Amino acid sequence: MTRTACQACPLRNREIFVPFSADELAFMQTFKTGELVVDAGTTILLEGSASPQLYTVLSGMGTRSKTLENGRRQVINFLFPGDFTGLQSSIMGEMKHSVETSTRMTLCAFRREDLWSLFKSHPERAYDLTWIAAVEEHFLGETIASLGQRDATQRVSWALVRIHERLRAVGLFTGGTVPLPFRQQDLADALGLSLVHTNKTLQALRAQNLIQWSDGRLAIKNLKAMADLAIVDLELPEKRPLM
Amino acid sequence: MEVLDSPFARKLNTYLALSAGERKVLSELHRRRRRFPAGDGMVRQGYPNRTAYVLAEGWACSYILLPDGGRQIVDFQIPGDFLGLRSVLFAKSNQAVEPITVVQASEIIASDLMAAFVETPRLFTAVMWAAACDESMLADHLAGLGRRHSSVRMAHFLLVLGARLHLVGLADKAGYACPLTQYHLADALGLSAVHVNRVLRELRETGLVTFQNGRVTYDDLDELVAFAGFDRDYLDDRAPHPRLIASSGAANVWLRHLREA
Repeated sequence: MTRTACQACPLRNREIFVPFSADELAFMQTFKTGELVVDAGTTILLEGSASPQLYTVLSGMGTRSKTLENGRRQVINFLFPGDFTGLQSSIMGEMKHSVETSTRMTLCAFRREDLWSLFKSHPERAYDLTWIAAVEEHFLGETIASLGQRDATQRVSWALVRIHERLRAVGLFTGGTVPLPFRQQDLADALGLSLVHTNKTLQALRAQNLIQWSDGRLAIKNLKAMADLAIVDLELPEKRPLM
Repeated sequence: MEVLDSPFARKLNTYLALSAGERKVLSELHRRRRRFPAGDGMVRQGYPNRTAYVLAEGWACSYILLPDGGRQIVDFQIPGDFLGLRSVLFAKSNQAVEPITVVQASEIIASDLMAAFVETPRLFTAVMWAAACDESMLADHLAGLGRRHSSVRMAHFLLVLGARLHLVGLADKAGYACPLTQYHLADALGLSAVHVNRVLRELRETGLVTFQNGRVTYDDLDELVAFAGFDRDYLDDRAPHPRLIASSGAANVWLRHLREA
């Protein structure tokens, strides 16, 4: 299989990502040890276990989820192209959530033990790691606010608008739609709703001609109205570094 | 104050034994001490935030105001925690931070932090660890809102808070002092104040935990832990948060590097 050179990375010039310097680009090429291609439905990182590798999603989508003591599942967030994963296991010794693919996925792989040399030789890239963690935490806070303060219609609208804009930012908005390969159960588990409630809410949004979600693609027919319903400001997703 | 006595150093020291040099860098970071009255806005939502703080004394909370007026408390900050660290990196903060009690905090400027990291990469990893723990607890908070029933959510929340306070020496197996009101709990747990009141009464009447007069008292810790489905490792006296402190040390090459460096 062919491996994508960092120079030719299809993601790095997207506006959502902080640009690379020539030096950083050269370093990333040495830091990247390989590429991993996995099928849909694969668990890449397992809650409670350690991983020798860290990954950046080059293409494909997935979920990050926790299984609770009561056996129920909480999707913490979704995994999109450009997202970095596995740092938690490197720092804390084990993953606190599992990462699963919803589509076929290509990942750039990095070795955990190389992180130490990254910290020493490229402190600015190490700083970027905290920035990435900050973006994650920022979004986690917003999700907590959604579950605590938004009703079902507002939550579903909020999630669809955020996902739509995140995918647009990595160039996946084509022909008026974005890919949305998740199951309704994933959305329910992300938003603290039952499957039935999620389904009814989606049907109501479709009946109002606000969205169309079929064959794994989402069309938002009226973005402004959906944003109003979701009580969110339509703005570009927070700029972030790409590892 | 000797820097190792500060809650922040104490917390980092549970992850890595700090060297003399690292302690010195930490003291430098602690130089600018400020006092904030309760209710003062330390960080404002929607505005740029250029300053982060490490909390030395007192409690604060970070919250998000929704345009329709709803307030969600995202997290509470206790001594040893960072305040506003993340929002320093962004064009504007998506959260507000407000002291719940009078707060003593050290002001940390982003460029100083970066310089400190370059000087002592080990210290940097300890800070990363603290941030990863915070993120993990936020994910747990999220899961509570999404998938735990209100009384289990409350029990779990009180135990997590206790474990965090324990890490900086502010809680023991009997309980802890807690300045939160029922309104704080309501805004954090996505419940109404009436509902919070009912849940706390239920936990008290079933003999699990009592939150009264500014104190959380575990009436039956074992039963409370079982009821909440709480991870017992968090309560270990010997080494707080052992699960969080990379138990798989032998296999973890990176951590070994750190400890030997």
